[in-house]
Amino acid sequence: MKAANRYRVLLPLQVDTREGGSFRQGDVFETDFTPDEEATNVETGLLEIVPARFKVIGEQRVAETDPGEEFETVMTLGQQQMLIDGGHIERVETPPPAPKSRSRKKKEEE
Amino acid sequence: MAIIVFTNALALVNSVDLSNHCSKVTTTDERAEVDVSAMGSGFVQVTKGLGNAQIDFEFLQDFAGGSVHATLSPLISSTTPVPAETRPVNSARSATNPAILLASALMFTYAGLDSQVGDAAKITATFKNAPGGTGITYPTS
Repeated sequence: MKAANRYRVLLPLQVDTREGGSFRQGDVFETDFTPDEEATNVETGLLEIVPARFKVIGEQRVAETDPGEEFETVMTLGQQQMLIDGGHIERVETPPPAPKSRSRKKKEEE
Repeated sequence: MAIIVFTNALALVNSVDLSNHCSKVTTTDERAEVDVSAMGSGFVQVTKGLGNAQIDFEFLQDFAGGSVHATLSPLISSTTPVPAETRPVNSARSATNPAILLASALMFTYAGLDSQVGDAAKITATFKNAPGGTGITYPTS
């Protein structure tokens, strides 16, 4: 399983993703950042990571959560991937964000 | 307030609770001494320079999936900062059970095996402040 995050646009700027989406302040989207790209965008204040749900699948407690239980937290892609590769957690899939923000660019083009 | 007999400390690495494999923890929060003595000083004048923040864990090695080796080994080649935290007692943070937290840490030493015949296989892992990190903090909540 590959680490993934959703992001919220914090600044009054338009964010275009390589998948073709176009998002503005307050919009939430998912895209395939590298850990470095994610770190840069978060450090500059452009984006924030949206909390995600994870399930503890290993034998050790993670984020003060017992094995078999779920928790919600903000985790960078790098941290997530190391925990996934180590057999500690798996991501609990939640419905993707509303498609309205993805189609904003198309609507404007129309 | 009470004296603590160290029997149930918390050891968190990248949010993974490895307390049940941890046998020792050492935290270091220090500042370099910078000599600023000048002519006319009657004593050596020392001020504080750069800080050094470090947490050393000693673990009982375990190569089982999701245990010590699986948690630590990816960190030695990674430049992604992770949190390293310990508490006097393995329970919630509080004024009498403060966290000793390196919120943004990199692991610089991982001795995967370091034991003699007949010994328990103990290993050490050393975490230091990552670029942009703020050193050790002591949150109580």
